[in-house]
This record gives sequence, C-alpha cells and structure tokens, in this order.
Amino acid sequence: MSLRDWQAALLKILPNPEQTSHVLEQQTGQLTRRERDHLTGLSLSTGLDVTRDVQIWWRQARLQIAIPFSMRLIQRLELQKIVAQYQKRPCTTLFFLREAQAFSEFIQENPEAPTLLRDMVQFECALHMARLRQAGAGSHPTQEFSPSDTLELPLTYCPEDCMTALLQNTPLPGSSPDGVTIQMNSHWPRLWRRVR
Amino acid sequence: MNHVNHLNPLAQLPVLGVGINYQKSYAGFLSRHSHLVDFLEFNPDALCSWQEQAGHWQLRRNPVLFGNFLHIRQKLPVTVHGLSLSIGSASGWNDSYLPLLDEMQMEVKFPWHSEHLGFLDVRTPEGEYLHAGTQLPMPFTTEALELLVPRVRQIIARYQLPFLLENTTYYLPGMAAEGMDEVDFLNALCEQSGPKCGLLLDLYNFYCNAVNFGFDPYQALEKLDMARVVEIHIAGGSQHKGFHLDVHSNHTPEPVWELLQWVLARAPNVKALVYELLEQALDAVTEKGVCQNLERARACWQESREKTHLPDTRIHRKKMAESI
Repeated sequence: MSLRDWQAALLKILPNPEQTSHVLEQQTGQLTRRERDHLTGLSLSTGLDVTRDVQIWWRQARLQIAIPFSMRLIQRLELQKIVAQYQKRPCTTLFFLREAQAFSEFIQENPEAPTLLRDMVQFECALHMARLRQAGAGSHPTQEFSPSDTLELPLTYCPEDCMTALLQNTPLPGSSPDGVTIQMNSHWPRLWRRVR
Repeated sequence: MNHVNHLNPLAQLPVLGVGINYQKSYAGFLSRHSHLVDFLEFNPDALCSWQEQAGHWQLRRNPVLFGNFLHIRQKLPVTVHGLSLSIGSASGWNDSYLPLLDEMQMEVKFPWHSEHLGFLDVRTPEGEYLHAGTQLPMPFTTEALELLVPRVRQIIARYQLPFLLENTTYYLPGMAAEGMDEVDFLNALCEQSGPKCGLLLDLYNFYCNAVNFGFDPYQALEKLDMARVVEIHIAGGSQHKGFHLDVHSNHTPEPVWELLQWVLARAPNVKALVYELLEQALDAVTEKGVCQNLERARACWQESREKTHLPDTRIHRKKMAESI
C-alpha cells in the first residue's frame, strides 16, 4: 500500500470506523495480509478513537465560532445527535466558514432538522460570509447600497427573534405565516436587514 | 568546533530568546507583560480568512488582523510557524499556503520559518478530497522520507532561509515501521534535506509520545542530532482515554521542564524557546499562569546559557525588530 493509499484509508476510517470493512473491500487485491491487519488494527485501536475525538473537538469548535447561535439552538433543542451524525461524514476543511457551509448543506437535507434550525444555520453562514467579504474589502466598507452584492434569504422564522430568545432564555419564536425575507450586503455596516 | 559552527547555517542564526505564539487576543497581555516576551511566533493562516475575489473564495490576508499584527510586530522580532502547508500530503501540499508566505515575507522579515511534520489532507487517485481537520503524523518510513526531502529542499531554495520541521504528537499505533523510530526519522530527514533544515523540537509533543507509547524520552533524545535543534516548544495539555493530548491548554508539566533543562544543556544551536498556548485557554491558564510559564522558561534559558558558557547574544528587541 502506498503512502497515498494509507493516508486516504486513514482519512476514510477516521470519522467513521464502521467504514473499515468498506475501505478494505475497495482495496481488495492491492493489500498484503500485513497491510490488511494493520488497517484493521488501526480501526480498532484506542489511538484512532482518540484521534477521532480530537478531530470532532476541532470540528465542533469551528462550528461554535462560525455559527454560535445555531449551536446554542441545537443545545436548547437537544439535537446534539444531528451534529454527531454530521461528524461521521468526512471532514473537508480546517476553516470555520467552510465547516459551517458543509454543516449547512448537511442540515438542509436532514429530515430530522427542524426548520427553525435550518433557518438559523443558513442565516449565520450567510452572515459569516458577509463579514468575511467586509474584511476583504478593507477596514472602511462603503455604506452605499450595492444591489448586485445583496443576497436574499427567504426564511420561515425570524433569526433576530430566535437569537433574542436564546440570549434571554425565553420561548423560541413561532414561524412567521407570511415568511421572512432577509437581505445581506457586506457594504452595509450592520450587514443585514429584514425586508419582510 | 568553531570552524564547524562557522560553516553551519543554523549556528549563524540570531538568538531570539523566549517567546509566545501570537494570537490576536494577546495584544493586551503583550502590552502589560512585554518584559517577558523577546519575540513572537506567528501562524500566517491565523492572519487570513476565506475571502471572495471575482466570484472565487480563497485564503487571503485579512487586512484587519494583519494590520493589528504589523503594529505589534514593530516592537518585537517574529518567526513563522505554519499550520496548513500539509508538507506530508502524498497527493501534494497545500498550494495556497506558499503564496501567502511569499506575500508576508515581503513585509515581515523572519530569520527562519517552520511547519508541522505531518499531513492534513489527501486527494485519492479517484479524485475524492479528504481532510483530517487536525494535523496527522507521517509514518516513519523510507517512502515518507522520499516524499518529504525534496519538498524541504524546495522550500529552503524558495525562501533562502533555514526551514524547521516540528515533531508532532501521534496517538495512532504502528507509526514506527521498518525499524525506524521517530528520532531516526527526524535525523534522516534533516541529514538528507541539507544543512539549512533544522528542527523545532516540541518537548511537550515528544513527552506525550513517550508517555503514550511507553518509551524513555531521555534515551530516545540521546540519539537525536542536537545540532539541528534551532527552536524548542513547551506547552501543557490534558489527558483523554489514557492518552496525553497536545492541546496547549495548560501549564507546562514538571517532566517537560526537566526535559527542557536536559535538552538546553546539549543543543548548541538553540535560538528560541516558545511557550505555546491555545487562544481559548487563556482564561483557564490565567494571565498570571502564562506569566509564570514565561518566567520559568526564561530562568531555564538564562541558566543554560550561563552553564554552557554560551554568550547571551540576545539583541535588544527594538534593534532586532528593526534589523531583520
């Protein structure tokens, strides 16, 4: 097994050791008995378990930084299992925004995720992106309105009401019958506004 | 001996003294305790963010973070400690890291730079991209050396500066394959990569590996080519499932202080000692705790230089910052 194959096998097994037999199957014919034993031993080792926990902590920390209110909402709704499901998917990045975007994609497709959570994750990802765009534009963003840079998010719940409820530990908001539309623009000092 | 040192590029490097890893939230700490810090070690990735240009997202310097850093840098010398080069990725290193470093070298001069000896990601032959999300170790094999040595040489040629590799913590079994252990691997890597390849010896990482895999760190370090050690890291961490973890979240443990004194007495070309702290751990370690670690590091540093009769060639910080 080449170094590249070993690294690929390790990164496939790492988030989800149940993948080991699948990884071994994929490599059938290419692995010696010794290599097969090595990968099996690796997948059953406490060392891999610990490495996985370290990976999970970093992924969790990135989400905590990129989408803090969504993570708070997950705790409030006791939906930590959704994060655990996500973390069984292969990791793709070291960076906050990219991790949050991958989580957002996962959550939008997950039937167990309530719409309030989907809305919050989508909102915070867009907000984080707008903040980065603002930083990229320099420390003196223009206050001019730039229609081409404006992103429109159609949501069911008002993110501001949700953030307030999380901060004040009051009941979470209900859905808005007509929906909520949020606009984001990195040229605006506050970055976003509710238009409907 | 003097003649040999004269030819050794690592011996010619300036002595920086005792430093800390730069984090954006340390500005207040640094202004209150500037007498404890001779230099800063910074990670270029931490001064960057994903930014959009012409519809493409890429890793770019964050003007606000970089501006703050430049302000602090005027007062102190700096070294670079990269995180995301992923020098050991078998499918190719991170192409976006080196242009960042090029850009930074134009504005911030540093006497050497370093990277973690590990890999972060790999692209499978089928094109699937996989990321570890954390630094993973290289197996101690000939194939790994064959991959790393040309890359180290390439980096040395590109920057015309000594390049240091940092030993990492590993928790996976079976790394020491082919009868080569970690120290054999580090020695071979330096020797094959040429005289400008040095080591950033992370003593906390080495201590973790020794405890986790049951070897004597002193016996192991006896074999290390100490002349390659240019910089030392110390830190503290925590334990999990019976393993000592490298998380930079604690005070430096006593056995690491003892190892530090032992290494300082034997490594003739050490120029810098860094206490590493995770930004999020500042509250837990406390400002007083960070000061205690830095004060003790300085005491060890000065004692070793007196004992080994090495001149304390630490140049006045401001003068140093202006000159490099």
